[in-house]
Parts: sequence; structure tokens; C-alpha cells
Amino acid sequence: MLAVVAGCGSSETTTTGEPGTTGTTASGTTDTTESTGPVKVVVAQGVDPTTMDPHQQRETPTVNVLLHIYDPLLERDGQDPTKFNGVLATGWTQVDPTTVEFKLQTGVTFSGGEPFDAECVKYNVDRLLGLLPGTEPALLAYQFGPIEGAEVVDAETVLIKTKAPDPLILGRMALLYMIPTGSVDADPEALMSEPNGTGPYNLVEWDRNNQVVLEAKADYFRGAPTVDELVFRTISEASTRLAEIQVGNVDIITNVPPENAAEVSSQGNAEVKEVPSSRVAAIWLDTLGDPILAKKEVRQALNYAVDVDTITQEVMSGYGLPVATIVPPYWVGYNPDMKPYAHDPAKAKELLAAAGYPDGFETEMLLPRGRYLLAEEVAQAIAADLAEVGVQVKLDAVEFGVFAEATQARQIPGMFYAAWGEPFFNPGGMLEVAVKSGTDGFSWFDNPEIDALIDKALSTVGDEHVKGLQEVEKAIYDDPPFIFLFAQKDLYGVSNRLDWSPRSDEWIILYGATVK
Amino acid sequence: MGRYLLRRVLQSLIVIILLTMIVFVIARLSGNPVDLMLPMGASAAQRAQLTQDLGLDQPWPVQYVKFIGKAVQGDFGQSLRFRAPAMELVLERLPATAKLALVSLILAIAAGIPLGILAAIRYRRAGDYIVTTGVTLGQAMPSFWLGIMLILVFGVQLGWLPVSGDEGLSSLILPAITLSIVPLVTIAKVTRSSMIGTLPQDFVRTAESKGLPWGNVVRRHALRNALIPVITVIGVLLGGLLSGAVITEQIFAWPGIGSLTIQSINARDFPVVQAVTLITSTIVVGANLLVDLSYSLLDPRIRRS
Repeated sequence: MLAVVAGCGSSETTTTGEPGTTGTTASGTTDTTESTGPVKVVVAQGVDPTTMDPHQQRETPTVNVLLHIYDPLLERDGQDPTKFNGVLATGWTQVDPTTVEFKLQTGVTFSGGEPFDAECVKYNVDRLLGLLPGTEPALLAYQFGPIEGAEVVDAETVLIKTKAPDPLILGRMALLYMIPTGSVDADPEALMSEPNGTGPYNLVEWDRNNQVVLEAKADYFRGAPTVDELVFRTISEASTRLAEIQVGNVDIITNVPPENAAEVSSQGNAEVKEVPSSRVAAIWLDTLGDPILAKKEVRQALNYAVDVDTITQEVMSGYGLPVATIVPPYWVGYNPDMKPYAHDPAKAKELLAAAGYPDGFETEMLLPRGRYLLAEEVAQAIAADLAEVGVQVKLDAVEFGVFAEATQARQIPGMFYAAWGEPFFNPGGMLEVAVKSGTDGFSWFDNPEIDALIDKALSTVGDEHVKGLQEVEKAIYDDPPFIFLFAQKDLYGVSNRLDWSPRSDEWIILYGATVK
Repeated sequence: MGRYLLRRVLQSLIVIILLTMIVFVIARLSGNPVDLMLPMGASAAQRAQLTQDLGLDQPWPVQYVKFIGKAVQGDFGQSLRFRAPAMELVLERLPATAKLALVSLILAIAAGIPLGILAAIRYRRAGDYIVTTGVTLGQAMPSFWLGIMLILVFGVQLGWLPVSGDEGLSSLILPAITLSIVPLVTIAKVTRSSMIGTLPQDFVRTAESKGLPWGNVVRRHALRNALIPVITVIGVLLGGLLSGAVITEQIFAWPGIGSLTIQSINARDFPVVQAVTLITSTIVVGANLLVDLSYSLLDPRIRRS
């Protein structure tokens, strides 16, 4: 043991002689940032990006890197997620229920010198949907199902056509990052490790499973970024990310566990910032296979039995926002008249008795371990609440891979816990897949009237669409497919020197951020 | 000697093939990458398409034979997550792990042997008890706990050393210490017991009675003989270093094959898991083979048996 300490001391002398890269050595955290060298920001994520091709990916950590290299036509607003701001588009109009016209920026070029124009937008849509000769849809195409194609009007005007009226069209287009015309014709994998975008940064180095280094483009068309160098480090261990933000080696960490929130600021280098997320937690009820849960009164009773307010306050330390159904206030289609089920065990017992179960019943809940914010603690609190009205729930916590396989194979016990991420800030996707009847998706529910309401809401755009969603919300409140819970809040550790706010869509956009 | 060598090499090959088979089956039993790659509520058609694209629609034996057939030609398949050659990903990461394992082993030898000697020459006295207690504590410490403690003390509280990543020599210190504990403990224990067995032997007493300085007796006469079992155990420890690297690399975000293994298992990235297994099992089996062969060079009796 003695020798271990000695070995440590002798090597320490070698560290002091090491050339100091700005702000990365453990000792020089606050003083080095005041030097006049290039401004560098380090983001720590749990997993590595999977590719540098923006059409062939599905994971947020990958998007967070790529959105600095590529640009979309438009971007979701950081403050109000139901609004959009133009990036490569200067404006857009819904010319008819199935067509949106985009006006484009002129004079923008890719890092490789290729021009950006309407033809390029069409190329991107064709490539994504697999409409280019001899190609298949790209990985990201699953978000673009309703899109029929793009039509070039002139160099700076393009039409995006959908097969039917699509209320989510703008949100979809915000996911499409533009690659140069013809860039993947000769080699479909040309962009996998060598990106080429119009965005504010260029790739310098991608050391797989370790880090991605980006450098600012001085001639970026929206103005050069103030952060010169952007580093995305892969640190899969949560406690290590926490230690790195404490000492100030990294500037942003994601998914801070609520129980560790206080530690982030313990060294005075960083603080916790919270933001309501696009993830809504609920307990899915097997209304198709379980004769007890098929009864509406039973499902209402379960909703009355669970004390969501106390759970979000006590178990989640306030990092959850109770919702009436599945629509938080900052989503499209939020119905301000709806209030969450009250916590009323007496009423729950009454309803259970009316349904023929005065003494309750036994059931089982499947939940994925380590996937959703405090899921195991929340599930235990819910089980305790349900036990009070006589419903005995056996918790079955499994690794996420096992959970995913069980739900896809539709082999679930009476209920399961999940938090649904809805990138469009619109309940449409969840209603379509997790509420509407059909065994192809994620729904264990069948109510033809609600199906019709969902179809109506999702086949309209504008105000009619919003009204339709509000009607659906009322209907599923009365005939609940779930035990309704809360919208999660996301916790970030952000260094004090960085002026940046987290977004509800989990995207980390550092263009526009400044370092003090 | 030629036949013995051939037999041992063949045995090693069979072990490696069996290992790939076991990992192949266990990986597939543990879950399906398709369910993890598709969003919640993807349609059955999307799942079928992706399953087919990834070649997972065929029966396991067919998949395995195809895997072996291609592996023999040097093609270990594409990573399902990165869509890049699996073996390339593993080999890219191998130097980082090799560096960490080597430094840890050197640390373990440099500290373990002196500690073992110290305990032996102070047998059943204070020095022995201190070393033995320390070694037992070291053995009882889970490496993830030790790693996090080292980070909190030297990285966060004192700020002397980097918390994680690979930014040169200083980054190597904490993970190397963490990884060296298990082999250090083993080496110290083996050295101690081997020295305890050697010190009372006649040739040591003779050397001592000739009036040679005590330090010389220990170093040149006792230690040389006592080291043979220690060298054996170092060969065996290599496997432990590689498996220990999985946890250590995860904690320190060290970009080696250990952290790649965890990510690949979580994503059910079968080709990468298979490539990692193949590489590590080849290294471990190869190291053991070399140790065995070195015995037979030293001791002719083993060759004949």
C-alpha cells in the first residue's frame, strides 16, 4: 500500500511539466479560462455518436454533435417548443393542407464548397426516403412516414408535400439536417466518418468512444460562433461525469441524478439547471389481456389511488410535473381546462367495489431498470399507494434490453412503467402508437370512439388540430388507457463560466452560447 | 517437443472456438438489438426489415457458421451501432487497454514483490501483520469503489490528477492504481508464501552461515528461487487485468476495449462483442500457452508427461 502512494507522488511531478491545454488540466480550472487563447467548451455525454451522417442516426447524443456541423431548414425554439425559427429557411407557409412552401437562404455553401439551394433540399428528402434510384430509406426515415416528397419551384423556393394533412410537418423538417447534393451517390457511406455540412463547426477529430473535437467556422453564414472549440467527451459512468463537472473540466453534463444535484455545485464551478422535458411517464395498463384492467371503473380507481403530487414532490424532489393525461402545458394540444385526477383513496375503493373488486386484486408491473428518471423509486411509491386501496402490485424490475424485448413481443404482465419521449411536443405520436387500437404498435387499448377522435385530430392542421387533440384528451381522461403520472424534468450540470440554457428537447445547441 | 507444442496449440484453438460459441449464444439469449434500435412502438414490418438487414432472421447455427466462415477470412462483421467494421473498432481501442494493463502490471510487480518479501522476512512480526492486513483490505475493496474514491480524493478534493479520459501520463495514474490492486495483492501473497517456504531451506542457511550479508542472501539466493511461482501467477493475472479493465475503463472513461465492451453489450452490438471476446480470449489463452511452454523449457519432466 505504501508503494502505491509513492508511485502516485513520483508521477505527479511529471504532470506539472505537461503542456497545459486550456481549461482541461485538473488544477487550472478557473484561472486558465481568463487567458486569451481560443474559447473551448466541453460537453460530456454517456454514449458516443454513432455516425457523422445526419440521416443515418436515431440517438440524441449523435444529434447533439451533428447539429453543430449540419443545419436544418428550421429549428425548434429553445424557450417555447411549439414554435420554430428559420435556419436554412427564411420563412414558410402552409399553402394547402398537404403542402408547405419554404423560402431558402441564398449564398450558403457547404464546408466542401457545394452550394445550398432548393435542389439540395429535394436531394435530402429523396435520399432520406429512399427515392434515389437503387437506394433504401435512411435510418431517420421512420420520423418522416407521412412525407411524400419535395418539389423545386425555383432555386430559393421548395415545396414539401405530405400524403395527407400532417400537423407535425414542421417538427419533422426540423429533424432533417442538410447534406450536399450528390454527396452519397457514389458511396452511400461517404459521410459516415467525414461530415460535410453548412453548420457553424467543422469536424477536427473523432476518436471513437473517447471524444469528438469540432472547430468553429469563421465564415458561418449566421455569424462565427463565439465558442472556438467544441469537444464532446464520452463518459459513460454517471459518477465520473459528476466529478468532472465539479472540478470544472467539463462544461455541460446531462441526466444529473436528482439525489446528486447538490454535489454539482459543491466546488463552486458549476450549477444545476432544470428544464421540463419532452418525456411523459405513465403506467400502461393491459386492457386487452387482463379482464380486470379491461374495466373502465378499475382504471379510473387506479388513477384516483395514486398520489402523483406527493410522488413528484417527495420521491422526485420536485423534478416531475403532474399532468392531467399525457399532455404537459408546453405541448401543442394542451387543454387548460383539464386537471389531474385528485388523490382520493375513498373514491378509488368505491369504484373498485362498483366494478366487483371491493377487496382489490393482485397484479404485476414490469419496469426497466436505470432507464427513466427514478423509475424504481416512483414505482415503489405507486405500489404503496395502490396497496392502500387493496391492489397488490408485484414489481418486476428488469434491464432495459429485456424490457424492450418483452414489450415488443407484447408479453407484458398487467401493467408496465415507461416514459414516452415525444420529439414533436405534440401528443399525436403517442396517441397514434400507444392509444389507438392495434397490436402492431405500443397500445394495449381499444376504444373505437377514441380511435375516431384521434384520426380526426391527426388529419387536420392548425386550430382544428389543436381542438381535436383537446377532445381526445378529455376522452382518455374518462376512459384511461394509463395511470397518468407526470412530465419528467431534465437536470443538467452547467459550468458557471458558460452562458447557456438547456432545452426541453434534450438537444444541446451551443451556437449562440457564450463564455464569461 | 514438436508434438507437445502442436497438441498445446490445438488445445488452445479449441478453447478459443468454444469461447466464441458460448459468447455467441449468451449474447443472443440476453436480448435483441432490433428492439433497442427501433423507437417504442415501431411496427412489425419495420422490425422484420431491420432484423433481416442485420442478418438476425436466420437460425443461430446458420448465423454462427457464417460468422466463423467470414472470421477465418478476417471479416468480423459490421458493428450494428456504428455500422463500421467490428474488428477495426476493437483494434483501434486495444493500445489504450494494453497501455493501462501494462502500467498496472508493472505497478503491481514493483509494489507486490517488495511487500511480499517484507512480510516474509518479518514473518509473524509487525511488518508481516501490516502487509497481510493491507493485502486483505486491498482484496476486499471492489475496484469500482476504489476508483470512485480515488477520483473524489485526488481528482475532486485535492485536484492533483485528472478525473477521467486520456490526456497523457497524468491521466494514467488513477486508473492504473485501481487496476493494479488485484494483481498486486496476488503477487504480494504468492511472493510472501514462496519466500516463507524458501528462507528456511538449507542452501539459504548455508549462504547465511558463510557470513554473506543478509540482504545479499535474501536477494541473490532466496528470492531467485522463490520467484518461479510468482512468474507463473503473473501469466495467469493477465486475464484478470483484461477483465478488470472493463470496470476500471468504465469509471475513468478510459477509451479502451473495456468501455467498448460495456457499450456494446448494452446496445446488444453482437459483432463487436464477438470481436472483443475473440481478441481477449486469444490474448489470455496465448499468454497461458506461453507460460506453459516456458515451463517445459525449464523443466523437461513436463514435456514427457
